[in-house]
Amino acid sequence: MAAALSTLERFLMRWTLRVAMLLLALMSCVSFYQVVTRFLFEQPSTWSEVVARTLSIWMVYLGVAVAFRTGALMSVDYVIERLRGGARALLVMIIFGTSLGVLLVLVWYGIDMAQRVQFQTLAGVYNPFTGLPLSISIVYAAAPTGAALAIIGLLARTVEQLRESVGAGKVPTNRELFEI
Amino acid sequence: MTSFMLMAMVLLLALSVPVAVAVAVASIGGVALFTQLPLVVVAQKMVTSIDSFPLMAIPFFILAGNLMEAGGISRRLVEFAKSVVGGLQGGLACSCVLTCMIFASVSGSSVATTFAIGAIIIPAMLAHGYPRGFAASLQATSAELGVIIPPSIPMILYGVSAEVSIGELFIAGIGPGILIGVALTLYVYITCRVKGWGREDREGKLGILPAAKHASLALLMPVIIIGGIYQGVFTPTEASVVAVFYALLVGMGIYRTIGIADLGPVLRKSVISSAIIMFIIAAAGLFSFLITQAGVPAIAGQWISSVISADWQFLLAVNVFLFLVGMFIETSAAIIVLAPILAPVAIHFGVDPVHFGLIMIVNLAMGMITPPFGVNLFAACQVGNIGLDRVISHLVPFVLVIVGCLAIITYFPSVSLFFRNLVY
Repeated sequence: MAAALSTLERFLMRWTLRVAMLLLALMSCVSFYQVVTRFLFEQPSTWSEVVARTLSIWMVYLGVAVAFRTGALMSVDYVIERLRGGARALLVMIIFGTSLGVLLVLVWYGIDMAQRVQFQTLAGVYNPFTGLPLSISIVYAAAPTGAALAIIGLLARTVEQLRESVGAGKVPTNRELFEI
Repeated sequence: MTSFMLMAMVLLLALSVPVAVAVAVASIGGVALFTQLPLVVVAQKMVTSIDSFPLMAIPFFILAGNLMEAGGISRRLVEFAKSVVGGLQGGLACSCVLTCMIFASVSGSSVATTFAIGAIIIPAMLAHGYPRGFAASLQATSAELGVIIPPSIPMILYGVSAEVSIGELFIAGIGPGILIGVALTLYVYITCRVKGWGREDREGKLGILPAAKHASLALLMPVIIIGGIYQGVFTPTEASVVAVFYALLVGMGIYRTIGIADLGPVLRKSVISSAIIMFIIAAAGLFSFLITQAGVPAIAGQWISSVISADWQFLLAVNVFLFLVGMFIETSAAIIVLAPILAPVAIHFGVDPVHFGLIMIVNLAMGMITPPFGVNLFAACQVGNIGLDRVISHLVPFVLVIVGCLAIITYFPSVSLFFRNLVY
């Protein structure tokens, strides 16, 4: 059971990272396209800035999920590095609790926010297939989606840290996750 | 409310809670306990704070820096710097400063500069008999130039949150960057003379012309970026995109050091670094929205002007305050929270907001090398494979050099404003 969960979690995180990487590449291309249209054709495109900003928000929130998984978020590690055993486990739980709280707020109210703006539309961008306007919900959905994935990453990371601090030996962080 | 939020944030930071989480928890607590605002404002602000075209320059400059590192551009820059100052005693240490100055003019982050240059120059310095602690401190301090010489991520943040032109800030960073670079080089040169380090640094140095030719495409990059912004051709964000594609063109097309397979690790590193910074920006944006709503900038401004009467006192007090803040709080969070409060007060005292931005950035950049929370210092210790406690004694003089430069930058506005006034 634990092994199956762990496999599922790794699969999810690996694909979250891959999608975020793709989004970064895409937003670079879209922004470059904007520079080219502005300078070479002197006719700035209307859709590229909005699209690039939307891609960047999605890239950030998916990247945040992976950062929670790998423990890459910046923190002042002075205290936790000096603690061992039970005290360290307690601190790990405090960090877990506060992080979980923030992520839950982002999931719950992020969904709320995305629903509220459902009928507002993005300026200058249309669905390339139907030609209809796009909802701003697309932008706001990034936060709850990323936060939900981050909760999974946070859980996996905390389990590893707890096992490490109660002395179950050094549990290596999933390096292969970083190796995509 | 403000004192609750500040205390909650500092307490959580002390408990090793990630910076972005600590700032977000403090803000969520502030919203829930002290305001009538619905909590949905949290989700709204944490999206809209990063929904900005100027801020998109951050992931792009990070990506461009990583591409250059992968493309071997940093190695070529080290060779070039060695050819210029390598002939001196202690020339290797001096070329560390010079390389960081050049690299800084294409990279907007000082941590990226530490990793890119440190990985090459720290092992070289150790091989030439420099003490490990000295090499690590030198690298951490020189890399600060990454955020002082344009382009600079903290300047983008200051520009966005204090509503100052980012282009002007970039140009204003040139003077202070050169000042700090020269001061560091002098200090390093004198130390090496006194201690007798680096007598054989001359070895394996290329001639200036071959080295310049070898590094020419890398040296052209700052010309394109700074020149483009300088001439008003590009916005900083556009310049950052151009930097990405220029680095890609040089790395894949001309030097042929980057293959398709190398793009994966570059993108992965860039995604994680960008996400970490932008998440802090999102949380700090919410925090700063709340304190602005509560009218804190006006109250703080009135309070400061009632206690302090002269501009020099204000600048001194601000510098001491920022130095303390910088020791404990991450630079981007500090700028987003404090710039909207302090910049209007600075204007009230007749300080140019661009000049004030430089004071804030140079001061908070020093926070990157002062423990307990100094990202550059962590990075340099990691690269140099040395513990934080063994670096401190070597670090203190470097911090003093920067303090001296900061005093000059603070009380001689023309250091920052000379180039700006030349252009704007």
